[in-house]
Amino acid sequence: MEALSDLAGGFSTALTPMNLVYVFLGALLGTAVGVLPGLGSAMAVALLLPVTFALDPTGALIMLAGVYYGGLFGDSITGILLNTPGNSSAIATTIEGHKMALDGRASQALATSAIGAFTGGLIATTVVALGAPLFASLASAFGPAEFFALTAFAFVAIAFVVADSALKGLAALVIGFTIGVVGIDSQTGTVRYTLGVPQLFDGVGIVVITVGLLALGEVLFVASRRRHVGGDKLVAVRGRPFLSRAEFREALPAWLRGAGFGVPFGVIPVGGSEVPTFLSYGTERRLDARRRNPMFGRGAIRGVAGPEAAGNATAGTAMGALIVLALPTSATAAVLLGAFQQFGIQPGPLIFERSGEVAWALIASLFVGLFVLLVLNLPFAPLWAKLLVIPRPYLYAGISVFAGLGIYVSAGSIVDLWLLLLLGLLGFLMRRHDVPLAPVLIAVILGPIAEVNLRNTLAISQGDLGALAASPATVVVYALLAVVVLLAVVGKIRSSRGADV
Amino acid sequence: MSRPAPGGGSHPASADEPPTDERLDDGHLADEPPQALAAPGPSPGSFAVAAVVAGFALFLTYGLLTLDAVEAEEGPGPAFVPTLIVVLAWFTTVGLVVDAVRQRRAAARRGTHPAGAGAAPTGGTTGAPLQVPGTTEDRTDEGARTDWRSALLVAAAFATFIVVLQPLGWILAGTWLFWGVAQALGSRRRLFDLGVALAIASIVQLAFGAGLGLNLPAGVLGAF
Amino acid sequence: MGVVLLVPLVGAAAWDARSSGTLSGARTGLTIIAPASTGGGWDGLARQLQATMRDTDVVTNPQVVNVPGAAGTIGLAQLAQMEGQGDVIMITGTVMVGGVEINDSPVGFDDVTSLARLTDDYEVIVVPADSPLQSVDDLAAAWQADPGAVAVGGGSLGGTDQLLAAQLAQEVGVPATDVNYIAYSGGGEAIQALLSGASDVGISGYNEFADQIEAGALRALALSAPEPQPELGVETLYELGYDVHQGNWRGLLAPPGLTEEERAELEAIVAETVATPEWAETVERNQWVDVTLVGEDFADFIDEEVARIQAILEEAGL
Repeated sequence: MEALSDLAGGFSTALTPMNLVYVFLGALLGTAVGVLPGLGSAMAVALLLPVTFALDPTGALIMLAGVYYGGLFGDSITGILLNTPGNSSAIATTIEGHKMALDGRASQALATSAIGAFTGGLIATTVVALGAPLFASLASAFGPAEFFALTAFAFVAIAFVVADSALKGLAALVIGFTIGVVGIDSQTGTVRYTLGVPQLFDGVGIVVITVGLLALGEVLFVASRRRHVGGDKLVAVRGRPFLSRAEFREALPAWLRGAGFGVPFGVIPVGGSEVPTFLSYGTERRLDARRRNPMFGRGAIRGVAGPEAAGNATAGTAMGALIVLALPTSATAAVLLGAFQQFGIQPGPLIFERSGEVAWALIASLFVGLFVLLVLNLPFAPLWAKLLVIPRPYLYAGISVFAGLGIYVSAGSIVDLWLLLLLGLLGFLMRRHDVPLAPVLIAVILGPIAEVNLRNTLAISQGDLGALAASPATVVVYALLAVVVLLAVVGKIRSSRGADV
Repeated sequence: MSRPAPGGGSHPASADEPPTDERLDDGHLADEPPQALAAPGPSPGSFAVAAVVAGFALFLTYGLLTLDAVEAEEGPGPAFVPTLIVVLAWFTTVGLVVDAVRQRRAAARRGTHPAGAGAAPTGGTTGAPLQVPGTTEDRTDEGARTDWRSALLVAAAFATFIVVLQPLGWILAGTWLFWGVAQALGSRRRLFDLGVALAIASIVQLAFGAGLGLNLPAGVLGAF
Repeated sequence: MGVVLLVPLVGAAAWDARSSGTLSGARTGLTIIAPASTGGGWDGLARQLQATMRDTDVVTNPQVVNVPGAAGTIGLAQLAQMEGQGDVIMITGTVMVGGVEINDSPVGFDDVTSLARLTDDYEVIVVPADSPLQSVDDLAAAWQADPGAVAVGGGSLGGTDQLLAAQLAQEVGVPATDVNYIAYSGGGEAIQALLSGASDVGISGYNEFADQIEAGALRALALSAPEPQPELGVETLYELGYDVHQGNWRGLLAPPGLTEEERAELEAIVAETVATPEWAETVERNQWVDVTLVGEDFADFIDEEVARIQAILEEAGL
């Protein structure tokens, strides 16, 4: 109850006209930056940080919170419309979202994504506001052994879903693992697979990989198809711009399930929101396959709703983990942690006692920011969809320009631009030969996490393999894993028998 | 047909020597399948994919052999996971080759080109995520109408952009990139496009350079 | 019509590019290179310097450029190539000294101009609240009994955290190579490893652990500061009888080949900046220690640091 009255106090601070303007500005800026490939919310927050020094701490943090959520709303827009997700967190949404756009349902896909982002964020923020103590126990339950179990689970759960052709799926995984293993080994300092290029010592950046494989690869692919796909325009947008009651009802369970996946992941640093978004995508797809009229592959609204809600729910609880535990679980959160400290606010278990007013105002402004973003994004969905009216050469030329810009400005590195081009060519070849791209990204993201945690576990246990499954949490995860594998195998046998008859 | 040794382009990390010709080599390498398609033969896709994966496997093996490993105190060392990946890579390569050969035989027996080229017998391509987003006929009749020229032009435009970015500065390099890609994608209003490109590059300079304080190279403009 | 709009647009953009690109002198457009990505400690220092310089008009319009990678050695290599550019400075620190060694960087501190040391930070050694280790003596005893059984978590290899672990181990007669050091990539992960009981001991900058210590989740055993810090309520290793200290200093470098005047101008800019009340406030806010040291003295200090850290890393087998 006390939390509620504190929260009410927070709202009264956050809802002053000036602070509302800050939230609005932040949300707008965040969305704009999120839309561009390669520029994510981490960068937006870092760039705006010096600007916010001029504001009072509350106003500044409120504005940064708006940027943070804005980036998450924005990053799936280009993915849905053009098949070029701006960030790795939007990859899962893109898969079905772009199919919806090609089917003329771009506005609906955007609206589904906006509501999904809102729902996920809302549920997560509510959890943060009311259940802070829960976080501490969840965070302290996860050590390297548990992380490894979790990544192993995610691997298997996701790989079964996203790769239809086993061989090509494996090929994609190999490519992803290879890219992921480049760089200095964090535990021993051994230099691996860098060919002596110092710029590769820290590995290939995930943004470079995402933008290269997905955005630039798509531009190249579109170029190679241009004579074949007639016309200068992409697809006509048809139908009502908003969701019908039936569509809303169809998406609702996926939104809620997605948020369910996302909430716990915000607290544990296993690679940000990629894992929960893919887990949600996989679940929705598997559930869908059991229905009489499966929609996946043809633009399933649930394939957009689930991952988007999952992504934003992760971001929401990550904000909570940051405020309450001082645990930065994503790059953006790490930048924000620095920002808090700049304003003399030390996040952590004691934040409510020491800077209670600012902390509650911040949590309240997260709610406000979500509403502002929903209001901004729903009417804009049809407007965004108008992007598709731009002549194709200009559209893809623009994507190339922004891809080059985004990659160059983040590190000022020409080497990164060459990597971007090589990865673009790789992405193009893979598209051309029907090798799925999603497993590459999964392997790139999860591979290193799995390796580090496996080796940390064994280093801590001094080589005792039993440490991998010593805690109840790991046993539960491995048991679940066994069930998933068993179900998948049984399913395969059944379907192949069915085919034989 | 057998493929030449995998080109540099299949290595994600071969950017230490990024001259344009290497990249073009890669393009030529990949340029072959359409010709191969002229004769009834294997699905070019499977061999191409096998070649790419073999390239990765070679890179992995080379890296593993030259790994200057510091031994870990406890548990598996830095070579442990790469070893697993190498095994998986070669296993996958062999699988892809066998698959491609089998497909070719099947096609030869039928005397026709396999339907839906590129569709691996293990599962087809329906719903393969993130790469068949088009309506199926848009994307899966591979090879037949791949416009290599356009794709290579886009790649060349981007490569040129990288080379000239620092010497010429953002505005000129960005203008070139936008204009080049637009031309490659079939826009024919050359002069008008140049204006659009210049406008986009200038807006970016103002918004990100002046507005957000990002560091965009000034190039020749900085010399005045 | 379109052309009418285009001309002023391109003109404005070109003007902006020109003004940011011209070699405009250290007093107007000083470039501060942060050899790390946005959000890290070096980036933070660069941006605070930028803000202070601008607000106090020491430099009209300073710019921050990020050149991340390989513990700052990529930035160092770039700086070494900016021969004779008198309007560029770069952040450096303990971690870069270690990074040059660990990464076998072909470019070292001899290839650039040493400008000034600015701030220092000290390290803290912590254990989870319910740990059986009550003191540094307990830790020493545990190490002597079985060094492998004590998992020590901290930041990246060759960084200050590992340097402290290696020195302390040697001090108590345990070979530094036997320390079971687990490198975590971020402060969050290191804290998490302690809270979940995966790490037995944690080492990091005091600020990173401060809140968890205050909240009672972690227990501080000792500080690595050279001077006693009574206000923190934690004794230093010196006070506890161990001859070990390890700072995390940060400073500034400049390109090689500067003239005497250029160098003097940069030193003057640094001296003026750190003398402002705004800078004092920044140091206070970040809980840094002001250890300003300009010119030759700083160059000597770096030489000592390089030799000292080389020796420690060699002992630790890196």
